[in-house]
Amino acid sequence: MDLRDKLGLLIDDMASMRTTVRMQLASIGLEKCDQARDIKEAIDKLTAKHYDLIVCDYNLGKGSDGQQFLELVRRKHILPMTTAFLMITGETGYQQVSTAAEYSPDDYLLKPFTADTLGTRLGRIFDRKEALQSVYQHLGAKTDYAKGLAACDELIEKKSRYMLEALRIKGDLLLAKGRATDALALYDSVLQERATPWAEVGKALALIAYGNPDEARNLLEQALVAYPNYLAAYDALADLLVKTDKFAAQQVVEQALHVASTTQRQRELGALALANKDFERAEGAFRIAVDRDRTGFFKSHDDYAGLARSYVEQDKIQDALTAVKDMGVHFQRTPELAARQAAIESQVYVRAGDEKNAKVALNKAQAAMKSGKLDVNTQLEIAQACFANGQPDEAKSIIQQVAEDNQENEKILDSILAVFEVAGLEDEGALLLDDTKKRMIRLNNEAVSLAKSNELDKAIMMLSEAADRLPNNAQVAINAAQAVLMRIQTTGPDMTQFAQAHRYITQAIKANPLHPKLDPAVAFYRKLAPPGARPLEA
Amino acid sequence: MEILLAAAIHDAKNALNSLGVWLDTAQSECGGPSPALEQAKSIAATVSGQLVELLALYRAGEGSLRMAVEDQHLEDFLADLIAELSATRTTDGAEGAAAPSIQTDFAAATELGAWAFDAYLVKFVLLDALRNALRHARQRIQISVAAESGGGIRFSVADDGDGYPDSILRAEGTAKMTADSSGLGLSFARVIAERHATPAGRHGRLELANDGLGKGGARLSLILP
Repeated sequence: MDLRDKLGLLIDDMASMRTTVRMQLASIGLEKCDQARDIKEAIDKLTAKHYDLIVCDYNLGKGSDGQQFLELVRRKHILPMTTAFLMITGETGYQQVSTAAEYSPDDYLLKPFTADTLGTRLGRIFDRKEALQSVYQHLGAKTDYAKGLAACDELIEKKSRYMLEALRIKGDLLLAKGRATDALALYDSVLQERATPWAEVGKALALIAYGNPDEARNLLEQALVAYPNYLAAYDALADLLVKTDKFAAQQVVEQALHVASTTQRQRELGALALANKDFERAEGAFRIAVDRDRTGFFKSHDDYAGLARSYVEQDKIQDALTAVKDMGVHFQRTPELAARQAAIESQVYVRAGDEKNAKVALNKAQAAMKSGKLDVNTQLEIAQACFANGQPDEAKSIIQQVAEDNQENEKILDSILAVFEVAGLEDEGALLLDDTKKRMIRLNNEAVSLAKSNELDKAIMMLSEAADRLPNNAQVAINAAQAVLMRIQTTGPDMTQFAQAHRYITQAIKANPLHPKLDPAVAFYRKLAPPGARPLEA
Repeated sequence: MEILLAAAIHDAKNALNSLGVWLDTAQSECGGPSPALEQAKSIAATVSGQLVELLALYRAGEGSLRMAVEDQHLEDFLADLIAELSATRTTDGAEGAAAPSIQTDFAAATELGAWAFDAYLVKFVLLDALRNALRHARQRIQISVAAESGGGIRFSVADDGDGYPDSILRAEGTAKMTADSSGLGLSFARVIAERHATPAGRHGRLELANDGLGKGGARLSLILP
């Protein structure tokens, strides 16, 4: 394997280790190698340049580790799948890396190792990357599912050495596209040949998509007996249980934390414990989430919000106020952050019986809301504060908008219910969500029947008003685009209208790139669009 | 206790690694092959492997042994195994005789492609078995891999020595102290085999028999589900 043309990035907080590994890399031919001391430097370098190879130490100091880094850069699509990622670890880190669930490195190497071993491992990773290049090039920020699947099929058909990897990626792609029957068939055929944990979990996910959660639960529980350290199985089981049994879900997350304690899982445990009114446990989990990571890269506003709520519910007023204040220390000061802090603070003061300060804080949060678009979680926090301050109508009007905008996002709808539950108004919450759903269905149905009775202009007016107001609602944006395209079909090409259709489809892609109605809309646009119209990127 | 034990074993392993580096330096300084230094390196590697086994057994007993079962390309895995064995192998056999030759039968590895198991732990089981076979062999040892009928794979290590003593063959499942073995390696191998399982309830196992090479040489088989 010729490494002379490759560009590497070496990440380690210890200078002596960087020197040693740098020399080992040079001795096997990799001369071009940048270095980074910590996650911030590494991210700066990764955004500026394309690297062929990352060699990263597991232990990066300041409570951060290579696994967190890998998850961060893969999630944000800063690290393309074509870049090789080798993790170096001591015996302790090995257990964490080798059980990592969603994002695993291409390989890991146990310290100490020789330059020869390093060379062999790198050679293998590059061989694999090259063989799977035809697949990887279609994955990432803009995944092309059709091309990705075709590339997998080609490798499977010619019985490539990396056939199993191709099958695994193909399964993921089928699941992402909601093709449950095809995914199920794939996993069954793999499992007939061999027992392997990823296919068990894949099969369970396919069963869930297929509408058979009971069998999926069974399968995952059995898989965990055979593979008690396979984190992906815990994650899938917890995701499944969250919908039906939050107590069981909390137990599963606790077990997963026993295997590998990651910030993301502590955060999940905290949220579940809050929902289960296990406030002491929630406090512990959020405490770990905010304390452990001293780099600040992996924390979120939600962790401090969760911590503050855990304290409030236990009447630890001072601790809650401190958590709100700490939140301001660890993040960049933005209107978003200020609004979130004010909304939480207001609820703490209500609990402490300090109506005056509660009101001041609430006003501050509400003012921020009027001056700019805020995150969903911040908006819901403000709604929660409104409830606490005895302003249910204001709360509901905020929630109404969030619910309409995120009609198809189950996680957000669940958060909305949680807000009502904290306010002691579960029934009203369910009612509001139900009403919103019916209203959105009615809107879409009315538009469709208007379109059918040749009142396209009216339909477009209705839908575009809704689409402009609800940027996250993919369904509405797709229908708006369809209606505009139908008008073009009857009245002839018109560049302004093509631009409008383009805007709505792009909006839908951004809101939900996997929406099942998206492909037909994109195809419709491409069919009608004259050469001068803006091409769609999807 | 576990943290203390793990830390102590970790330190001891690091010390053995430094020892290995010093022995390498000594070897290059003495200018020619040195059987004594090779012997010393081989012992350091064996002790290091025993420490890993000891920690794993302790953890298994405490219920905290973690296994990372994932697909391994068998060809790569076996190549690593042989490379690691060669790096710490002495060129001399028992009592100064020529070192036994190693035969490999890896045809099935290409056929099978990959299999899911914990490569780190299984590698130690096989390394230990290979070192043991090298100690007892007259002229040759053999390592092979094959598909197991009914599902699973079988790794076999055989030698042309005198075979296992009856006491070991009879002591199925329990570790026995014998004259030249603490039984640590076999106990470890049994635990690692048993801990490999499938959701259908199949478990791995260890088989010992005197149907190896030559007339009644030892054969250790590790069957993974």
